[in-house]
Formats: sequence, structure tokens, C-alpha cells
Amino acid sequence: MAEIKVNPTRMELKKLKARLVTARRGHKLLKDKRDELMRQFLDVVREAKALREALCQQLGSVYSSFASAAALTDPRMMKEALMLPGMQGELLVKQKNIMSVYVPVFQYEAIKASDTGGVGYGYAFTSGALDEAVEQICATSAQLVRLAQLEKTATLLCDEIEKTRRRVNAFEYIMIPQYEAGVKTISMKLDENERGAQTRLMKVKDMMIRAQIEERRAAKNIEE
Amino acid sequence: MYKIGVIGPRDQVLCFMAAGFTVYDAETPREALAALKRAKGENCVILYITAPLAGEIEEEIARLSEGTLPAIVTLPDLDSGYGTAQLKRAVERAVGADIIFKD
Repeated sequence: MAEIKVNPTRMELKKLKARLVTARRGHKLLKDKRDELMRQFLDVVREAKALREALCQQLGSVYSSFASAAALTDPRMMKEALMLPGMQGELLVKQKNIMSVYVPVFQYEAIKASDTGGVGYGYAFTSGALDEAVEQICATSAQLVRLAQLEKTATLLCDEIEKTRRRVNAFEYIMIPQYEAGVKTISMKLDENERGAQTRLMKVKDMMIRAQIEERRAAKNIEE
Repeated sequence: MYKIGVIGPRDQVLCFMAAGFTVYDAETPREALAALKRAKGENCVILYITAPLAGEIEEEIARLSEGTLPAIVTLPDLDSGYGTAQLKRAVERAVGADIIFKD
């Protein structure tokens, strides 16, 4: 780990200590953010998983009904029948803020377009399986929209969790240890300087006392 | 007004027209990509794409679905399990290990 290079002065020590406090606070906040994002993410993924599994089953039967309808009906007639949708959905898009991640919120309202019970075609030239498929697909459309919302939310949260985890790790393993090492180095250097100054003073005092003693001794000798 | 689009081979996605979704016919990955771009330009905020096509243009989908909108989602189907695999991958990326789909 590269240490930060700073002048060993009291000013730098004060600055570094303040940065260390900020880094610790940031680390704690980011860790909390990561934990909350993770909690929300797991809830969303669990719901998305259950919904996808349910939709797989439902759409499986839609596909098979539709395939048998397609086999029995003329393709042009089929397209014509589906041209006018039996249902028109109104989609409203909003945004929600989850821990500063903006996720979409889709509000889907299904409105039956025709008076024929949600079927926009005549029954004469199409197979009964098509009616079934259309009915089922109309029933699942709201769930499909919900699935899109959940999966998009999961993707966005996943990206943010990845970023936040990197930041938390950078604080935990790089920045905070660097600041701590910096603070330790500077305080050791300052203590060393202080001890050096004190030793020097003691030495000087010692020399002065010795000189005084020598002086007195010399004066005494002269008197005698 | 926002639209919902479905991209895939005609015989698989035509049924979604009945629900009022806009259907984009695409047989190949190249056509699917062109359809994706077209749909994005036509105010489609939710785009469903069939799993085999989504698997072929994964990177482009990731690039096009950056940001809050649009939501590009794989159509649920019983055969491929591609959508579930994508969710699983997201869990692995976020948590570090798969704790939801482990069974």
C-alpha cells in the first residue's frame, strides 16, 4: 500500500485527522447504503423470480393456443384479426428514488377497446384457440408490465450495489489505512522531534551546570 | 404516449398485438437490433424481446438499456431459461454468490 507523503508538521497532522474522521463517516454511510440497497435488491429479485416463473407457465399455454390457432387459420386472416387490438392499455411512467437510484414505476391500466368482450375481430374466420390465446394474453399483460419494472429495478440496483461496494472497499482497505498510517507517521515524527529537543535542552543544561561547577572550582582554587 | 414493444419472430410475437402492444418483426439478431433502435426512437419504454434473439445481442441490449428507461426485458418462456439466468447473474454480481437460485 502506497503511503501518502506529507510534511510532518502539526498543521498537516490536524488536516489529516480531519480527513480521517470524514473518511470514517463516509465509510459508515456507504456501508449503510450498500446494506439497504442489498435488502431492497433481494426483495425485488425474489418477486421477479416468482413472477417470471408464473408468467412462464401462463405464456406457455398462450403460445400453444396461439400456435394451434395459427395452424388452423389463414396467416393473412390472423394478422387482420389481430390488427385491431381487443384491449388498449394505458401506460404511465413515473420514477422512484431508492437510495439515490432512480428506478421506473410503470402504472398500467388495461382498457377493453371493443364491445365484444375484449376481442377485436369477428368469430367467423378464426379458430376458437385464438380467442383463448387473446383472452389469456390480455389477462397477463399487467403482470408482464410488472415484470419489466421489477427486472429493470433489479438491474439498476445491481449496478449501484457494485459501485457502492467498490467505494466501501476503497474506503475500508485503501483510504482509511492510508490516513491512519499518515497520522501515525506524523505523530511519531513530532514525538521524535520533541524528544530530540528535550534531550538537547537537558544536554545544554547539563553542560551549563558543569561549566558553572568548573568556574566555581577554579574560583575556589584561586582563593586558596 | 408511451408504448410497449415486443420484438421477435412474427409467429411468436403476433399474439401480443391483441393486448395492444406494438409488435416488431425480427427473425435475425441484426433485424432485432434494428428493431430495438427503432422502438427506442418511437417512445417505447418497455421492450420485450424473445430469449434466443436477446442472447445474441446481449451487449447491445445492455448499452441501449442504460439509464432509467427503456426497460428491455426477455420474454418469459419455458425452454431457454435465459431470463432466469440473467436474474441469477445479477444476484451473483451484486451479492458475490448466488443465494436465491441455488436450488
